[in-house]
Amino acid sequence: MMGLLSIALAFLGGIASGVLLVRLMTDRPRWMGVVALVIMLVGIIGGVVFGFPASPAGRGLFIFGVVSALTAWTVAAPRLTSVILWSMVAALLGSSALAVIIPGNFLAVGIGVALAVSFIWVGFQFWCYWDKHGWRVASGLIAISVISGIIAFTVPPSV
Amino acid sequence: MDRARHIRNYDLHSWAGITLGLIVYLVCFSGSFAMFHYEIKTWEDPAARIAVSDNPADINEVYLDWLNETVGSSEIENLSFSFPTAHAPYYSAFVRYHDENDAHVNERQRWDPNTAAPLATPWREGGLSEWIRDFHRDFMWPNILGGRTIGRSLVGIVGIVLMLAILSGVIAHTKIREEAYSMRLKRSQRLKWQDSHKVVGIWGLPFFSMIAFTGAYLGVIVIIAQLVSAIAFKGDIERLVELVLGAPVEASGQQVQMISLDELRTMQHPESGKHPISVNMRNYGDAVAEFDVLYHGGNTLRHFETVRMSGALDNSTPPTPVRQEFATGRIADAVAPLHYGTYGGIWLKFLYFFLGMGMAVVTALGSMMWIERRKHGNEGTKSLTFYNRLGYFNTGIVMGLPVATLSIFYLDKLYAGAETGRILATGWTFFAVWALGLVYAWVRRDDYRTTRELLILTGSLAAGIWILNGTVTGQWFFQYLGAGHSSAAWVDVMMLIGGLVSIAAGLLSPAERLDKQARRAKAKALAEATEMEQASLPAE
Repeated sequence: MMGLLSIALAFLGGIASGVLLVRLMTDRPRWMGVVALVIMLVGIIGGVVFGFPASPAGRGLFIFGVVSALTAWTVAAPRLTSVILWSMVAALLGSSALAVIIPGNFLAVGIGVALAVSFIWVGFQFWCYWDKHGWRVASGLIAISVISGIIAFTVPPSV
Repeated sequence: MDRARHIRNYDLHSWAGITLGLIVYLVCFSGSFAMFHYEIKTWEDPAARIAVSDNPADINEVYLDWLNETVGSSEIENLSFSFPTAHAPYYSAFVRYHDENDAHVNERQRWDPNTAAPLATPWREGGLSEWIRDFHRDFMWPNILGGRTIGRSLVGIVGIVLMLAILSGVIAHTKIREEAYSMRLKRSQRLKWQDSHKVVGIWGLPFFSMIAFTGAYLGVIVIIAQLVSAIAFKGDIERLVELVLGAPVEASGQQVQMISLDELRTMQHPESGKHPISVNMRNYGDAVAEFDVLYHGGNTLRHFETVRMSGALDNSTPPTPVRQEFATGRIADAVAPLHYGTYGGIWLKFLYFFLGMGMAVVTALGSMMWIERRKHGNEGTKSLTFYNRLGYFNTGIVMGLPVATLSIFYLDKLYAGAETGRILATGWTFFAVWALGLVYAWVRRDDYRTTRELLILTGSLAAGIWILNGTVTGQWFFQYLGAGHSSAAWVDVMMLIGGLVSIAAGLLSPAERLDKQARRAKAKALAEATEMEQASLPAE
C-alpha cells in the first residue's frame, strides 16, 4: 500500500513540477529553465543511483523525474509531443485494450490487432495536425492511453 | 479543407520528409538491392556457382555420424537441416546443445551435394550479401547501442513515417488527377523536380503504400505485437507462448529410429508438389519426435509452407500442413511475400527494384525541393550559406550511397584478410566511401555538378563489375549465362546495363545547371561574398 502511495505521490509531484517548470521556462529568465532541467535530471539520475527499480526511494525519484520531464515537454509543445510520443503510447495501449475486449480466439484477434496497430498509430499522428487545437489532441491521446491502460491491465484476455 | 488545416497538413508532410527523408531514402535504396540478396550471394561465392543435380548424394548416414560425433550424449536444444537449393547448393546442418559445462554451443556443417563429403573450411562468409540484406533490415545496428532489435525497430518506424508522409502527401495534393499527368520538362529545374516527385509518387502510390505498411509490420509492429500480447496477458509470457506456439511436447525417453533425411528430401508437398528446402526437428531420436518440413511458398502469398509430421519411422500419423486458417492469419502470412516479392519470379523482383528506386527518388527529390524552396523562395528564415550547406550534405548523402554500395562489390572480390573479418571490412569500406562522397559534395560546392559526377562514377563502378568478377574468378558472364547456376552472370549483366544507363544519363545532361534559379543563386552568392569583403575592409 505504501509502495503504491509513494508511486502515486511521485507521479502527481512529477506532473505538478513539470507544469511549474514550463511556467518558469517561459515566464522567467532563461537560467531558471536550466535549473528546471537540472531538477528533472537529478530526479532521473538520482532514481537510478538510489537503486531503481528495486528500492522505493529510487523508484519514486525516477518516476518523479520522468513524469516531470514528460509533463514539461507536453505543456511546452503539445502537438510535437503528441506526434512523437503520445500517439505511439496511445496506439500501443489502445491496441492492448482492443486485444482483450474483442471476443474470439486470442491468436486471431491478436494478429488482427497487430495488423491494425500501424494504421491506428499513423491515424493518431495525423490527427495531431488535422485538429487545430494542439491541446485537444494531446489530452485526447493521454486519455485514450489511460483508459486503455486500465482496460488492458485489468480485463483478462479471451482465450 | 480550410487554409490553416491545409498549411498544417503540408507542414506535416514536409517535416516528416525532411527530418526522416534521408533515412527513408536509405531504407528504400538499400531495400532495392536487398531484393537480390540470393543472387548476390551466388555472385560473391564462386564455390556456390554449381548446378544442383536432381539426384544428389545420400546424406543420412553421414549426417548421423556427424551429429553423434558433435553432440554425443549432450542435450539438444535446436536441430535443423537444409537441403541443397540453387542459391545454397550444399547440404547444411545446424545444432545447438548444452555441453557438459552447461554452456550453449552452436555447431554447423556443410556437405557437397554430389559426393556428401564435408566442405572444406573456412566457408566463405557472406560479407557483401549479408551487409546488403541486413543494412536494409536493421542498419547492422551495433550491440553496444542495443543490438539488431533496436535497428529493426528503427527501420519499422521509418515505415510508419513513410505511411504518414504518404497520407499527408495525398491530402496535400488537392489536384491529384491533373498532377498525375503534369511533367513540364522545358521549365525550371525546380519545377522538373516537383513534377517528377508528384508523378512518380502518384503512379507508385499503391506499391509505396504496400511497402510502407509491410515494412512497418515486419520491422516494428512484430516487436510491438509481442509487447501488446504481453500487456494483454499481464506479463504471463509462458501462457502466451503456449497459446501461440502450443504446449511443448516432453521427450518420452524411448529411443526409436528416425525417418531418413534422404526420404524426407523426396517428400513432395501434398498440394504444390514441391520438394522440401529444410526441416526443423524437435526431440530427435525420441518416440515423440516432431519434424516441421519447410517448402518454398512458390507463387502463393506465403513465404513458406510448413508440414508437421512425426519424426519416428514407424509412426503412421499423416503429415499435417501448419496454417493459420483464420482471415487475419492469412493476411499476416501474406505480409512477408508482399514485401520481399517472393510470390513471382525474377521479373517481379526487377519490377520491385524499379519501384523501390522510384520511392528512393521521390524522397530524395522531396528533400531537394525543400532546400531549393528555401534557397530561392520566400519560405526560408536562414541565410543562403546555411541552405547551401544543407544542400551539400543532402547531395553527399544521396549520391554517396550508390557509390558506397557498389564499392563493397569491389571490396568483396579484392579482400585478402580472414573470413571472420570480412563483414567488418565491408562495413568500414561502405561508411568510408560514403563519407568520401559527403566530403566531395562539400568540397565541390555545387549540388548539380556533384550529382552529375557521382552519377557517372556510380555508372562506371557498376559497369566495371563484370570485369572485376571475370578477372578475379576467371568466370566471364558470357560463358555461363545459360548454365544451371547463372545468377552470378545475370548480376554482371544487369550491373553492366544499369551502369551504362547511368553513365549515359550523366554524360547527356548539361555540364552545369542552366535555369534562372541557378543564375540568381550565383548572383546572390557573389553579392553576399562582395558584401562580406567590403565589411572586412578597414573604414577610410
